[in-house]
Amino acid sequence: MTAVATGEQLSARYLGVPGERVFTLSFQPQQAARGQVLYLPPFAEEMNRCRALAAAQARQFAAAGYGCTLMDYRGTGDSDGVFEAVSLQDWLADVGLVLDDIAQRYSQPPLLWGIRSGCLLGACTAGAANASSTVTNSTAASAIGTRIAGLLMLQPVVSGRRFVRQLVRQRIAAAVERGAGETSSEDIQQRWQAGESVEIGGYQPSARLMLELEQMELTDFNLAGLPLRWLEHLGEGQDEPGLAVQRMLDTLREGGAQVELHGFAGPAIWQLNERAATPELLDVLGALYRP
Amino acid sequence: MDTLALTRRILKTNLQLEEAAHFDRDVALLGALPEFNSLTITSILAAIEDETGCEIHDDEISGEIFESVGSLADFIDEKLA
Repeated sequence: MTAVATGEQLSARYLGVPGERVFTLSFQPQQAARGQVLYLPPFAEEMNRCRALAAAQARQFAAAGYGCTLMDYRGTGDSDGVFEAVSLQDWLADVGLVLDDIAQRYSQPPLLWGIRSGCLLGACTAGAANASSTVTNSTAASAIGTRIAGLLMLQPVVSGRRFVRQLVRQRIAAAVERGAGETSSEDIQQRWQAGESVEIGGYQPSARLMLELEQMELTDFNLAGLPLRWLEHLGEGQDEPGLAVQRMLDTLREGGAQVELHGFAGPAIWQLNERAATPELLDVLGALYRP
Repeated sequence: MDTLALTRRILKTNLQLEEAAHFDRDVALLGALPEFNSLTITSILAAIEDETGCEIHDDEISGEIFESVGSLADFIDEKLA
């Protein structure tokens, strides 16, 4: 384990104005970095389940010569704001803020590394950057004008609509288990439409956040020309992903993205409540981003 | 697609149960396995949707689907049809 001895440079920083500050933790290699990576966490409990993996892979990136920045969206982790009050637009603005900072510091277009729903935020950001780069010499080089080196998507959520439906189902199943009154998806939808926040799995996301998340579909973003590495969990004895993933990859290729698929084995950590080591996944990532 | 193999794989991943890889159709699930609770049910339904690209609606969800490996495999078959 020489990587521990050589180490990486760690810096924790807050970006933005007080009350809206975004926490970032940057892992930089000792020597000049070959490239930068920005990690986009998944949603709610999945975010917590993936924290250890994100830190381990950030170290592995640094050991391979890449700088990697971890961030907490507002209302999560060490960033300002409360979860109940944030919107998806806030989070996309946070991503833009961190991208600007990376561009200023390192002058390297970063790779956007998402896990689960973080991939939707990555694709949305990359899609917006793609759209603005086709406008001649766009000097509106705010967050959106920042160039993106590519996307690394780990077990991506492809449909916000399906993802939200699955989150809602958790609430329905839990209610059934408690013997509580019937709640239906339609009922929850109506409450969101009325602006009411509904508790889901111990979290209280705003109606706006959930309605925005529902509108996010991976196929809606212009990823033409972007390198896209898709990492999909494969169960034992499975050598290729399910039909839905294969169809999605075809659609992305037709849209002009340069798609590579890589499978990984081991525990599906984003859905496990007990922490599990993920050597298989770290090996796949280690092989893709070699020193 | 071999639906029984898909069912075993989904069970093994979501129950974190090695034996699930060799489950026969008549193995009882809901009420028989301590690992089988509401959270497992939601994660299994999500896995079926993600693997097959189908949509499962509230009114399709019942305890009967989860009675046994066979009933779950039949449900997946129906969703694939």
